[in-house]
Amino acid sequence: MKRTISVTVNGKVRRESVEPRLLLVHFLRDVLRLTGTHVGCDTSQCGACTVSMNGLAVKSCTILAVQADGAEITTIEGLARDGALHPIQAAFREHHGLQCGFCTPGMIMAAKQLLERYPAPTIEQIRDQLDGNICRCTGYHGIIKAIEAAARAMAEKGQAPTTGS
Amino acid sequence: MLGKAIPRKEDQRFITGAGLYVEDVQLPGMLYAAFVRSAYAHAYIRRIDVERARNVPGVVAVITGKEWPELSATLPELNGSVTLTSPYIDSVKVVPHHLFPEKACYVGEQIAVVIAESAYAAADGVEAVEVEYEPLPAVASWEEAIKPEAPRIHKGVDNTVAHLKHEVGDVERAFRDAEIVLEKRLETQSLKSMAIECRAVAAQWEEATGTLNVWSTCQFHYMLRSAIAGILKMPAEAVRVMARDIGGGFGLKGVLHAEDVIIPLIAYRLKRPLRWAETRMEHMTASNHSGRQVHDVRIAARRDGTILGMDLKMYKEVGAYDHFDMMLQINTINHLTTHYKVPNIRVEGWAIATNTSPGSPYRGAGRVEAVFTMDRVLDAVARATGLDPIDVRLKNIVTPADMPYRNGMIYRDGVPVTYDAIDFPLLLERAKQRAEYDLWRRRQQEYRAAGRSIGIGISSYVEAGGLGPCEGATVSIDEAGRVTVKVGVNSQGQSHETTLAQICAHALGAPIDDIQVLGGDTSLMNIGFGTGASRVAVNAGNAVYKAAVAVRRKVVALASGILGCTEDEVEIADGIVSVAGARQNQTTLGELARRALRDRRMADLGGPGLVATEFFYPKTVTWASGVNIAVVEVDRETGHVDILKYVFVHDCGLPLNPMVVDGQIRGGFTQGLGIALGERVVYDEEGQVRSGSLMDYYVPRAVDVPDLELDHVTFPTPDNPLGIKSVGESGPNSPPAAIAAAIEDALGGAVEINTLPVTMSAILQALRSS
Repeated sequence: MKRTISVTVNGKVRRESVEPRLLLVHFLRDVLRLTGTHVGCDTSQCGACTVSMNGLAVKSCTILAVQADGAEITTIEGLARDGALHPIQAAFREHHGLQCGFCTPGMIMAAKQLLERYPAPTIEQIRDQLDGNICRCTGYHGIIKAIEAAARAMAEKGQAPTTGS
Repeated sequence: MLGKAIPRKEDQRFITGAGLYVEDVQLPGMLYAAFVRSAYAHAYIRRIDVERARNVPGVVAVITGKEWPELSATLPELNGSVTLTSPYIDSVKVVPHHLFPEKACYVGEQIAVVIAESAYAAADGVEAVEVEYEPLPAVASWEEAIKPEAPRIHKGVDNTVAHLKHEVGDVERAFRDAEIVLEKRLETQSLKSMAIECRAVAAQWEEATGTLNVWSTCQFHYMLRSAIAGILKMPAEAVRVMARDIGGGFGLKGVLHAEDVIIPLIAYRLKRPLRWAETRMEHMTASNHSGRQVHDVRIAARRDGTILGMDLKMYKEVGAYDHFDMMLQINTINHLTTHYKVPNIRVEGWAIATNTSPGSPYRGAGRVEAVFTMDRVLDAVARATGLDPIDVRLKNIVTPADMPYRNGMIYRDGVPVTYDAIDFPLLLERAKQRAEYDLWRRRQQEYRAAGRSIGIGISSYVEAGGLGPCEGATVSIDEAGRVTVKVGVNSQGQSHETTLAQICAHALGAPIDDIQVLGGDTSLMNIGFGTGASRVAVNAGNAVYKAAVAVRRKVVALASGILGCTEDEVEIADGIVSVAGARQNQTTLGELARRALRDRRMADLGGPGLVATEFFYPKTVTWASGVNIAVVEVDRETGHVDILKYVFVHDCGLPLNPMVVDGQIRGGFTQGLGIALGERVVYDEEGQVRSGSLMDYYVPRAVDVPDLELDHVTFPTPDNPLGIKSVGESGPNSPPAAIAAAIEDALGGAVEINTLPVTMSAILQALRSS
């Protein structure tokens, strides 16, 4: 019944035997114990489970683990490099882009995709692109400011956002 | 350090995915629970067939409530923070709320629990449990529930479970003297707090120490400890409740739900770690909601706009179990007059049980209903008199000359409501200026000529916060000079780890980077209450201040002996303790902490070490306040509301951290925006939930939220050492009233907006019927 899958998560190849019905989010959380990716709903509305799969932001509650066989996945835990925060993470702290922190990993992963698509986004583009992620605490203001600031920081560093991990 | 907008200390773990929410708690040998829930709003549970479920692979046990005597327990009747001291209430009937009921009283009520090796297997087990129901007629609205022939939710108990009344002045006379009498029915909906993290609980019996460890999303962890210890007849100290990283609360998690108790009881019996995490669908059906509230209000006024009196009847749906007696209605009454003089008021309220999940507070907790009523009344008077809404407000406003001002209400703590050191006209004037009110009034006419519908709405709120009884804090310094602050409250995102550290840094003279704040764990402080009623900054904040001052006193006394100077000459800054003017003669907080362990001088300073515990008892609540002005454009074709400008002027006393204050206001505003435009828990006549997911229940998205023009005005309070007030529940109060008023204004008086939310379809319907 179980199937063996091989998924590269945050740069490490993980071979695991999973039930075909196992959702990717539960594979990450319960099998790999990467609990930074959260579950906030059961209808793909909230976006707390957003991760990067083959360079695209996906809601990991809406994908089966077996569908991720062979894929490259980046989760919130894989974003900081050598102890240095990703510019988006740093900007969320600097601009009060979070309160309870529960939507934050999904929000940051969605922001990563957003900045790959629009390296210098307008506020309207930011608001529009965040449609799949709900924050109940902040009113989004700090999140939008953080994404604008991250775009500037990444441009200054000459660090054009790249896809994948 | 105090009053500075520094980034938050707690953010590091959240932005890296290292937070530890309850669903992240993983223990060796852990089991997982899933609940079998009632399909009916009202039904006897005749039979539960668990045989098939027991054979599902991975299922370990199916619990139906008969297994152990403690499962027949009931939840504590009233939540810890209710209104026993309120003089308004003249009757409350509390009904035992069983952990495993013989009769389900709402859809989603827990009937049985499946325990399994994985959450998936537990869900499989739930599918395999067969429940035989005997359905009974259900009532899902107060209008149905008060009918004489209505089915009783609890046998032998009237559906009206509580009643209150209160009168100030002479209302009959006010109506006799009135030149204008207006009547309105106002309706506000039941709401879900809708934290993005649903509820969860994990528990583990630790044999070695005889401790039942509980991880919970509860806002009031000591209340949960008392309930579990009470049922298991254990010492309270043997139950350790940890409620540290919580993904939003907003009131719904400030309640004891049955699962919060059931899971620890089962973990204790099975001697296996056990975890349950609510699904969003369970949250939408079985978790508490705020309860629909309807007001019938009559207003007596003069033709010059002076309000003479108000007569208010309040009907509140409280769900199947009323754990909050009439707290929400009492909050409504005590916030009702906001910034205005209503010399004669009579209120009467009824709490009415319905076949829905129990009612409980949601951020604002009755204040939205108060503000919506007062502002709709002021606007109705403006329409009846032909006066500008601002002028009606100025006619009735409480001025600084009226301070201290008592409106005749008695707060939940039994203390008369008193406003002091607040300048309401200044708030209104600031809002008017920031909103360019006169300019928009002119534009409104121009745009109207061009076929565009622009409207302006004004709303004023007050927010009582900092409710007691008290909170405590322990401040200690270790031998490396690192400072630990322990508090009895927990955080659902309010930034305590930063703001409380700022208070400590300010009072003690320690560097902020050397201060850590620990809370949300009953093993840290023996007594605490929790987070709700906008009470942490005032209660815990001032407790931290007092404890830090007490430690500072010890530092100064010890340092003066060691450095050979008077106490007045001791200076502390950035962790360095020195003698004024004598730079070479200095030591550090860490060095003093090391010496304080063995130095005999400490015998007269309360014992070894640099540590102190203090409690802060507020005299009564503090009063924050604000004025909102909204300018909207309504699309008459689609009913879409575009917010062109939104001004939010507010006072919350001295801000501990302006960035955090901003965040509280903006987040609260957005919840108010949701209440204004779409949020609503919907039940059908049978009590089935029609708003069962985030597809059906509106929550504002980034694209919906306008730019907010925030203006902070500071009126410090003399009532606590820090001069601070609350801010947590300021945000949501005024947006519904301001936006509803603006929509009504935009439609040119063609319709009256008396019901929230004002959805696009409600606008189109109103336009069609006008």
